[in-house]
Amino acid sequence: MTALTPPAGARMGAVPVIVIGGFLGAGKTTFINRIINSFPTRKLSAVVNDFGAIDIDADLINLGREQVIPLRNGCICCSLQGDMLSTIRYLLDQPVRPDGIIIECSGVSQIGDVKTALLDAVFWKEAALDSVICVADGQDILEDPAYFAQSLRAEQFRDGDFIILSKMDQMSPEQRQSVRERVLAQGKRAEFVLDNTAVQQMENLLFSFSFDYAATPGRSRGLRASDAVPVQPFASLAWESDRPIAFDIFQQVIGAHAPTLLRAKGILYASHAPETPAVFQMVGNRVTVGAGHDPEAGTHRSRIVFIGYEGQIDLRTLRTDMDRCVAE
Amino acid sequence: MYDIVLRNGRLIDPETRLDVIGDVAINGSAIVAVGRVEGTGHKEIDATGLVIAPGFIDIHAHGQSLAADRMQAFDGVTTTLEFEIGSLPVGHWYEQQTKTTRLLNYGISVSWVAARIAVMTGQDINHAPLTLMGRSIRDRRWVDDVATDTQVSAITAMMEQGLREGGIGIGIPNAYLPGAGVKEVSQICSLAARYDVPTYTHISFSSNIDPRSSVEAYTRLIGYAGSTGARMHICHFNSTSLMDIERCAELVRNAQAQGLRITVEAYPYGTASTVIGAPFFADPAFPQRTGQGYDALQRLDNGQHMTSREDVLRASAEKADNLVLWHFLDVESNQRHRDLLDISVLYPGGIIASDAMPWTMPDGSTYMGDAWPLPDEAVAHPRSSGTFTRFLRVYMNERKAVSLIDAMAKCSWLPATIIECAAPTMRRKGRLQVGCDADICVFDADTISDRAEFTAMNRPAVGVKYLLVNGQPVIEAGELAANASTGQPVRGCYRA
Ligand SMILES: [Zn+2]
Ligand SMILES: [Zn+2]
Repeated sequence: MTALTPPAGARMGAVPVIVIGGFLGAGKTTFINRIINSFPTRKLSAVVNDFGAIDIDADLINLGREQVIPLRNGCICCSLQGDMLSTIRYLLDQPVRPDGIIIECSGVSQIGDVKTALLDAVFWKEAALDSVICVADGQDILEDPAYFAQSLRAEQFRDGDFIILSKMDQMSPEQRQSVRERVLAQGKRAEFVLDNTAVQQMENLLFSFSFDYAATPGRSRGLRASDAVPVQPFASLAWESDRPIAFDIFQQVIGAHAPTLLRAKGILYASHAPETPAVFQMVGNRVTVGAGHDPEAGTHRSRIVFIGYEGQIDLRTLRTDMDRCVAE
Repeated sequence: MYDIVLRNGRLIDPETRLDVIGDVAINGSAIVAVGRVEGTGHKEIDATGLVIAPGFIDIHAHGQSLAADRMQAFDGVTTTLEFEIGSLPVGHWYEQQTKTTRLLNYGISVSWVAARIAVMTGQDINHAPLTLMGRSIRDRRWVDDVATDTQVSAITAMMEQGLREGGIGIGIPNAYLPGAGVKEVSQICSLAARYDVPTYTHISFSSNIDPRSSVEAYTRLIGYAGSTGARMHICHFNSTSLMDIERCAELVRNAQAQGLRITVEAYPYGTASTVIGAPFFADPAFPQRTGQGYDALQRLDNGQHMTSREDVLRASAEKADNLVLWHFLDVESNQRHRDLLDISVLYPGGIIASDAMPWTMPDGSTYMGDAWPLPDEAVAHPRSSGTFTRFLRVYMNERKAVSLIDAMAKCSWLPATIIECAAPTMRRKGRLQVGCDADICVFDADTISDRAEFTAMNRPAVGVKYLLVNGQPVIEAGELAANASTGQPVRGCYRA
């Protein structure tokens, strides 16, 4: 097995992990299938909870055994950490390393546990938590005026970086709008309707490999960076600087712009540690900063891509504010 | 003629603050001389340039197998105890251990989890602690439900039986039993108080925001200690306090100062910290020092520049949407994060404990084989191989934050003192004294280091040259030496 493992340091960063939560019957399986099918050139592996297997039907099994792995110990708490460590290590040891890992959670409490396990620094360098997606039954939200009064549901929504609404196709436009408004009122910034275009729309937000900085058009050197609009309805900004960033100001800038940002990712060199690359990753309102690998090591160039909804993200102010983060 | 004489090492006994160059003589499983030893030994071990200290005592170790013992042996551990979760029936657990090879001394606490599973769901509890939790999740009532009075009586009765069978205190992993009510926990604490045994708590919440904050959970724990008189040991103080560790440490210190019997443990690995809102790097002097002012920031809504830290904080407070959760994962290069970890790792009187995970195979089973080195596909957390050696490398050697003798106290003597109320034989462990058990760690203080990492978890630590368990060599000249059971059970012993 050792021979199959690339030497430490040879890797180009961590494999992104998407955590999918939602109650049974909400449409998680459908969604997982759509994600896997919408990235045909990528190898994606799904880790499913053996004991929640009712929701994982023949659809997923069709993807082949090597792509679907059960978590055997029931996916709970500290037994989970050991189980996830071994499952993820197993996936990373395969002859072809996955480009992304999807973990299906069946219960509400699991999302938090999985998040906690993945935020262990040991994990993060190899398999980094990318985003938490909550799949919810739109029909239930429509029909149950007290939907969010149930604490388990509210908690599930709170944990999700993005919300996917299923079973919306039979609704009138007014009904759809009412469901969306109720979801937005939970403080969620991005919600998608699970239909043919949803995963396409989300492509830019799912998995960090889909918005690699280098692949973003319109980047330029120095303190000025151009706006790049990848796919409607999103707009993005690629920003970079050769001088280190004052982290204190940076945190304020991110805080100020957070309501208009869906995602951001990049490499940072902070003024308090100008030699050490830090990987910055923002999904929804959740930011993770940790030691990481800079593929352009030696340049010490901070660079970040920001993505938001067209019309919401204020690219001009964001760029001005980011420029002011640069230490004198 | 002695069985073994360790020659010319630096003798450390944390309890008596002994720190001299000398010898140790061993007969059978006991230390019979410490200092200058005149006679010779059947086996003479040259410890010149090495430290001779009591073997480390890990009171939070989930491994409990030959593989786990071997990896922990190289981490300097001679006694490895599963106290956070525990097991039931206790007698059965000890009996199971005698059927396997155990290199290190072992022991178990009484499992509240197992009692709840048995009483509230009727499921089979005959599994290793972590496996039991995973397997029993099909019927979640033991996790989610408040127990009825009848159930609480049945649960505490089962647990009391566990104490009678030699369980060393009671595991209270409250976070995994969120449905359990305060009345039930208080009954369990009273049971522990009646038997005068420690409880080991994984606090119910770890969050920096109310409700259900870490501060709320510690306050509850302190309440249990005060209202029931129970000894309350806090598991992994580092990982459950997050950004509020300073405040949590202050609360625990105050409780201890009032005579409450609360103890803490930590492991020296960074954990993700969640920061809400306020900048992690916030420093009032920041604008002056860097020449950057807060006018750098423009308000999005009205385009005005902010002029002070207060402006910024006010603006964040006004708009709740602006709350951003920051997770920092980088202890090494982040001074502030390191300072926070230090509060728990260097907490005065606090101990080091590993929270070592079992070695798991790709199919999810626990590795119970005897291959050495461990198979590559056997996976645990690096804590399972390097907690104590990492503590010594980073805190004692690299950062000089702790002296050798104080480090040894946190690794062996202090852990023994926490549990000797329940297991009196622990008075003979964690000490390098005549009459004590010959559980001894001989190591090179300069080179001792952890080596496990994600891609090589089965890499043993280095620096431990000799490890004796009950007078039997487990490591000799830096190599694994034992293939038979050198470990002995540690059991609780009560009069209540
Ligand atoms: Zn724990
Ligand atoms: Zn534990």
